[in-house]
Amino acid sequence: MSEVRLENVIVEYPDFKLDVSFCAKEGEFVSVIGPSGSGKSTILSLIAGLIPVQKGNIILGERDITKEKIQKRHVGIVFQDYALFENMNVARNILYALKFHKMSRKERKETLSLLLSLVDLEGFEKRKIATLSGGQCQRVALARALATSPEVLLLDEPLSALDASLRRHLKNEIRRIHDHAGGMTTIYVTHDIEEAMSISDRIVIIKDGKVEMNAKPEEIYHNPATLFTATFSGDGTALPASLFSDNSNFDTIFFRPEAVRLNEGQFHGDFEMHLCLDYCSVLSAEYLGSKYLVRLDFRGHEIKAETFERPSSKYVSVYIRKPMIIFFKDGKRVD
Amino acid sequence: MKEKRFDYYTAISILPLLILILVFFLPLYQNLRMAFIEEGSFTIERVEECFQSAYNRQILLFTLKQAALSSLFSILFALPGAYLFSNYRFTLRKLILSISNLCFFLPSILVVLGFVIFYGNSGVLNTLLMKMMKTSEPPLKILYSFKAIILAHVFLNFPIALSLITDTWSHLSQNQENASLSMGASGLGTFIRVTLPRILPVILSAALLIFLFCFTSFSIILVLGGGPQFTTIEVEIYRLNNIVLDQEKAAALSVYSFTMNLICLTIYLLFSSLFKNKEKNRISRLRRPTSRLTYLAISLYILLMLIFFFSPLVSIVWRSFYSTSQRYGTGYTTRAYRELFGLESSIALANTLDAIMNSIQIAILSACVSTIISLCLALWISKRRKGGIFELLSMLPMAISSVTLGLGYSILRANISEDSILSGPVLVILAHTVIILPFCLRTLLPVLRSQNENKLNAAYTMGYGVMKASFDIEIPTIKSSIIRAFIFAFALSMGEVNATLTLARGKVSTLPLQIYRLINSYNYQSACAVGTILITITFIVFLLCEYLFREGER
Repeated sequence: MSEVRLENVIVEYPDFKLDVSFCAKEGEFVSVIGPSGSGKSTILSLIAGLIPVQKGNIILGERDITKEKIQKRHVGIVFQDYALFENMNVARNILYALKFHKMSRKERKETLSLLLSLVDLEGFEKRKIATLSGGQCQRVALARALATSPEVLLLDEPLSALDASLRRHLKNEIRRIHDHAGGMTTIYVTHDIEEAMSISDRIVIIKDGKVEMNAKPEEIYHNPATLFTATFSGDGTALPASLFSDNSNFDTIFFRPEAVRLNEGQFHGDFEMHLCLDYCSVLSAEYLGSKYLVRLDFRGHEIKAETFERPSSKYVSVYIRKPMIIFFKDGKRVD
Repeated sequence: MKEKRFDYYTAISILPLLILILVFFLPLYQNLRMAFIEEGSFTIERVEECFQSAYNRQILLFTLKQAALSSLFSILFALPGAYLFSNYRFTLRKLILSISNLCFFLPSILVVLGFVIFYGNSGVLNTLLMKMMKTSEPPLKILYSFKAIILAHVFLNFPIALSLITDTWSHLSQNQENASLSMGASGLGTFIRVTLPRILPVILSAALLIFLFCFTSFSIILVLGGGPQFTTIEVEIYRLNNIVLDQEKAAALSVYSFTMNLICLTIYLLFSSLFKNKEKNRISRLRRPTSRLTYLAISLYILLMLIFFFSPLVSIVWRSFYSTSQRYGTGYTTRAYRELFGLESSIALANTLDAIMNSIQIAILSACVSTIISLCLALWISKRRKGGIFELLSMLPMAISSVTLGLGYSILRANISEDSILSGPVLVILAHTVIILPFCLRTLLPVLRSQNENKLNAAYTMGYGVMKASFDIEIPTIKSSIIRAFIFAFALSMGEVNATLTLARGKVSTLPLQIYRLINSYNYQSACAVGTILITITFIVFLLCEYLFREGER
């Protein structure tokens, strides 16, 4: 396992430009996340050598692999569609990866059973690919990618084709396998923020081919550097600052649902510590199990709030904790 | 509703099935009766005798050999192209692929004519080479040889392989290859172990289809082979029926042709259904070529393809304006066209206008009948869970060569009076209908099978009857495919020469027959003028079909 560094890597197409720099440290699990067409899968393709870098460098450990052939890069990759070889069974798919490494037959057999046990597929050696479920295919693809002990593991939306419950289970499996495989440097591309938040050591948010923010999940959630990161990284409300103040240092305020308290009667909190919005109408209350996500309307703007009880009135007062409000000007955070 | 639906779809298939039995199974029965029944009792003597003859065995072996080699060379020539067209995005890519579909429309008699004009001893290529090499002897002696047969078959069929393989290959996900490469496999190793197993079924499927077409090829062998050593089963059946006038031997020999074709067709259909491409890749694998070598390979292949494919066709048009006649002198002239349209008197082209009208009438009628029959059958088959056997039965006309079918009709005609309405053009129309029916069915059935059943279910819930829903929703939805099937059928009928030649006997004249007769009388300029008209019609029909295909895809 090695560190992966992208240094001013540029790829330009007629309608799209990717210009990124970031680093995945040795053993780190880094998620790359962004909206469709932001360039997140292109980053994986560049690291794997599937598309050529036009400018900049990609460093893997001590090696500059920018112009290295795909075969010499020592990367393992799991594709969205798994890309398993249907003409081979499970064992042959995994052994295919070992074919190009000098190994005795005994060693190969041992590696195979080790990998199969790592992905919980013991006894599946002879199974045809067509008979496997989506989750099993994903595990075989993961075992195959790990077979060559790559320096970096690249995962391109490996869970996107699976149903919600399987995704929840397998994302934890992926993290477990990462930790058991000696903490292999992993770059995981996804469009699901919850998935990224729950399993990553660090998250790189991409928008229009540029890195918006590169930080730990907690940092991204609580201290987003841009308004886009704030809205993309979880539920929240962005309101124009002109509703409350004439201060020209910021143009937007942003807060998470947990920063909001609803009051149907008298407010017993500290008025100094809260921003008070009276006469907000309740639009909906979504039951999330342990709490409600309430949508409210304030002068034509939607506000999201978290409560433990369903509001009983049509109109409520909203109190936002001032320390939890983040200020933005032109999309960038201001303190 | 299920019961009612069954009634409606079964009801509309009964008449077409009866017509199919009448126009296909009856002549086939006549053929088999002639081969196996002697003085009212069953015998395999004729068929056995036929096989014991060393001459016939040689013919059978030669037929297999030329079909296998034609198929092999077509695939070999198509494979590099399929690789380039499936993996790279470049200018002219779509246009060239569309043009390769032209082969499905090109009448074989035009290929024959193009080859004679381009590769002949006094043809365009040899004239150019003789001028360049300053010699009076033609350097290339291709015509009337085994080489000519293979070359013409490759010319006519390699675009089928190119089109089929490219279609499958370009829809395969690139990720499997990328995964293999990332594990350290070389490009060649990845192709052999990962790509080839996925495209092998379509390669074999294309090879089988081409083998089937070449096995039943007739006019190419008849004209370009030019000798008894290059006789195939089809040519021998035609010779026995039309020249030796021994229908019994011809019928016995046709049993071998039918059996072989049936085996090939069954394997082809089994193959196509067993190895349907399951990969539904939404991301294009096409990329811009980055190396000069790739650009060079693409340019070279396109150039070769254009020279190989277009030169014979362009030569036909050029030669129609160029006279080499000793009587009229050499040089450019529109004489052939003036004669053709009756502005100047001519014996050779006297009936050409009639032939054009006949061809168009026969093509319109047989295309109409076959499109309606195939639509009814396709509707019925597509609603059946186990429609495979009926599909195979409807495809059976593909297993019987047009010469064999022509023989069946000739035997049938022996029972019909010469003055009967059934004699002459009607018989030709019926034969054409049978020949083009499987192609119409192949156009319509996949489209109907891919339709969303819930569209009809939604109509039923709104109170539509089964028949009304079919007429108002199902059939209009596939309108462009129905028109395409009709146009395709029209083109095939316009170019049909094999059965027409067997059945015409001077009574019916069509454009391909006119070309065949003019080639045989060495009147090449007139043949080319008629050929140019056929090329024009083929191009118009092809462009219409391509337009409708694009409309249908939108």
